[in-house]
Amino acid sequence: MSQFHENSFRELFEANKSKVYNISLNIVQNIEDAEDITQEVFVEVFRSLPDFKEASAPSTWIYRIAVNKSLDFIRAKKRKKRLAFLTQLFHPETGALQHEAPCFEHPGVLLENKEKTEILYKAINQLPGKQKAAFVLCRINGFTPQETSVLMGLSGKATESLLQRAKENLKKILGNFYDGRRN
Amino acid sequence: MDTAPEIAEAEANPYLYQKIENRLSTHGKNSSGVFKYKMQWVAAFFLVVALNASSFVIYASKMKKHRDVSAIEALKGEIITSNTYSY
Repeated sequence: MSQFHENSFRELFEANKSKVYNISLNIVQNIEDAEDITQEVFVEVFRSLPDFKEASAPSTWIYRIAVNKSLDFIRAKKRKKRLAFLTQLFHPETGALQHEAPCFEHPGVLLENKEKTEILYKAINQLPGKQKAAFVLCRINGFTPQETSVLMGLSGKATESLLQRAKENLKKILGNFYDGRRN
Repeated sequence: MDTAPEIAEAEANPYLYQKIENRLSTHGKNSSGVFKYKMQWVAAFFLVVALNASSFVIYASKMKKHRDVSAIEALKGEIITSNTYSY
């Protein structure tokens, strides 16, 4: 690769690695998977950099790749789960469910907020893919609804609708959870 | 959800750039190897097709020869029979 290409890539990497990692982490809720996705994102950025036409800001372009790769990952995981009947569903020794995601411990959360965050992430994990991505980008990663609609390649209204439905679904899920706890 | 606990940005792995560089260089080495592997399968496919086609041609020509021989034998039989009855 040319020195200019390498330097540009390095700059883009250093400026955006944290955000890309956190976008993936909040969507897929697994540290190793988020790392893998981050690597894939930047490998694609490196390959596509010569063709980048600057229709949007470089960071927007990179975050869009991150969102798409994270959503693709979730879809692939769901497909594997659906085919789980072909593999052993339960671990032969421990009897634990092999395809159930463990509780997600976000590394950026203070100890006193750990339990609340685990509950929130578990609830978020039950949302459909696009609602999950929209909610995570807007409420956790800190993007505005307009930025979220650009990152997801949707219209403003579609994004608002996703956010609204995500919020309603989360209220139901969390409501059921806390009712269960009280009883 | 509006008062969701503070979730700070997590730090990415400090060795991430090296991992990406390794991926890019490994893929570069692997891609020519993968191409050769794929081409081998394409060549094997055409070889199998060619072998089958030549076997079919040989079989068809043998069957034709066999049919010709059978036809000649049948004709020979008829001639002998007709010669026998004509006496």
